[in-house]
Amino acid sequence: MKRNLKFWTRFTWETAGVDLAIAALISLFAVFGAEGVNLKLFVTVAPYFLCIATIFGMMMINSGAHSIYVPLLLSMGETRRNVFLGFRYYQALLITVATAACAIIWLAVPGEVSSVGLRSLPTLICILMITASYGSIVGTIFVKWKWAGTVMIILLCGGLGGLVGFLGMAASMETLFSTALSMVSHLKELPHWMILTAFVSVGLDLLFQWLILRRQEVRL
Amino acid sequence: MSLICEKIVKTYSGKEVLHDVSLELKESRIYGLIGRNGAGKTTLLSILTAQNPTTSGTVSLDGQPVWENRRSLARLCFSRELNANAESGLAAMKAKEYLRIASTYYEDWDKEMEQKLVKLFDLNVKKKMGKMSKGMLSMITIIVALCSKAPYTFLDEPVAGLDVVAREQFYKLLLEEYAASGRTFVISTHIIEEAADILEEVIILHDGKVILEGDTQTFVDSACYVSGKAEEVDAATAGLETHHPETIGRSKGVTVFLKPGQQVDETRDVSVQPVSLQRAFVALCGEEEAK
Repeated sequence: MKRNLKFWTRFTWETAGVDLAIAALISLFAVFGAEGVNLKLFVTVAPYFLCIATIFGMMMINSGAHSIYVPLLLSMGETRRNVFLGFRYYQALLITVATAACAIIWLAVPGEVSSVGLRSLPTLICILMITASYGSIVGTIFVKWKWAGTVMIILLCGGLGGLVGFLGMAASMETLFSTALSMVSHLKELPHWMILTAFVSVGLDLLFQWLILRRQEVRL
Repeated sequence: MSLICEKIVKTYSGKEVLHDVSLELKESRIYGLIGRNGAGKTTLLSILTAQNPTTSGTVSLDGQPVWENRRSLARLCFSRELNANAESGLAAMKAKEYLRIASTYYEDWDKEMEQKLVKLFDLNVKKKMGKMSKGMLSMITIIVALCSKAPYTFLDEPVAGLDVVAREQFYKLLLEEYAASGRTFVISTHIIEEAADILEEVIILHDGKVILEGDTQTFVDSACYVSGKAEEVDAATAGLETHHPETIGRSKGVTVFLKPGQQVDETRDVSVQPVSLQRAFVALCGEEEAK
C-alpha cells in the first residue's frame, strides 16, 4: 500500500499542477478581457478560478487516469482493491488541497468576496465531490465504451471553452466580479439536496467503478 | 516454490479460448511458451499473473491464490508486449515515466541495472512511447522484466521488432540474469529457432489447449524427420505417431514423435534426420495447413 500511496500522492501533485495551469489560463482571460485591474479583487476571486480549474481538471484527468494508469498499475502487479482505494485517496487529497488553498487565500486577503468564499467552502467541497464522481464515472465509461466517453469529454471541453469565452467578453473587472459575486453568493447556503447529491454521486461512483474494476482485463 | 494453474477456462463472448489448462511452473527454469497466433498465449500469461480473471479454474503460488493477493503478485512480473499506437493511452507517456512507475511498484527494482540497460540499448527515455519503434518498445519490455527482479518473470514477445544484434544482447542478458539469480522466466515467442537454445522447458499451446509440456531437449530428441519413397516411409513409420506429412510425387516426408522404446524401422530405404524445435512445433501445430 505504501508504494500505491507514493504513486497516487505524486499523481495528485501533478494533477494539482495542471489545475493551477488551467486556473492561470482562466485568470489571464479574465484580466486581459477586463478594462481595469483591481489586484485585491482579483486575488479574492482567483480561488473560484482554482475551484473551476479543479472541477474541469478532475473530470478530464480522471478519464486519462482510468484509461492509462489503472490498467498500467494492474499490469505492474497492483491489486484491484489497492488501485480502487488509491484512486479514492487521490480524489480526496486533491479536493482537500484545492479547498485548503482557497481557504488560505481568503483568510490572507479579507474582503467581501473572501467572506462569501469562506462561508461557501462546504458547498464547494460538495460540488467538487459531485464533479470528481462524475469525472470518475466518465473515465470508467471511456475505458469500457470509448465512444460514449469521448462524447462526454467533448461536452466538457465545450463547457470550459464557453466559460473562457464568457470571461474574455466581460466589459470591466468590476462588472465581472460583481457578476461573479452574485453567482457565488448563492453558494453560501448549503442546501440539503446538495449534500445528498454529493453522497449519492460518491456512492454511485464507488459502486460503478468497483463493479467494472473488479473484473477488469488489462489491455495496454 | 511453484506456480500452479489448475483447470483454467477462459471465455470471451461465449467463445472458449482456453480449455482446461493445467500447468506447474517450477522455480529456476526458463520456459518457452509457444503457439500460433490466437492460440491463447497472452491470455494465459495474463491469467497466470492475475491481470485477467479466469472464467473458471485457479492459479496459486506456493499454495496461495494469486488473484488479488499482493504478496503473491509481488513475486510475479508480466512485462507485456507494449502497444503505443495513437489509440493507446501509453502513446503520450515518456519511457522515463513508464520506468519510474515500474520502479515504484516492483519492490526489488534494480535501478543500477535499469541505467545500465538503458545505456546498452541506447534508449532515449525522454521520448514519448507513441513515437518509439516496435524494437524500442521491446527494449522497454525487456528492461522492466529484468530490473523487476521478480522470482517469476513472464515476457510476451520480448524480441518482436528487435534487430539481430539486440536479440543476441537480450538472450545473453537473460542467461546472465538467470545464472546469477535463478529466477524463473517464461518467454512467449514466435522466433523459436533462435530461442530454442535457452529454453529448458517448452509449453506448446494450440487452440487454447496445452498439447505439450516438458523438457525441450527430450521433446526435440523424441522427434525425427523420415523421408523417402512414400511406401517405404509408410512401412518404416507404421504404428508410430506421425505428423505433418508432405508428399511430392512419389516421395514423402513425415515428422515422427517417438515414445520411449519406439524407433523408426531403419532397415527400410528411408532417411532419418533430427529435427529442430521449430520443425517439431510446426509438425504438431501446422497440421491443418498440411492437410
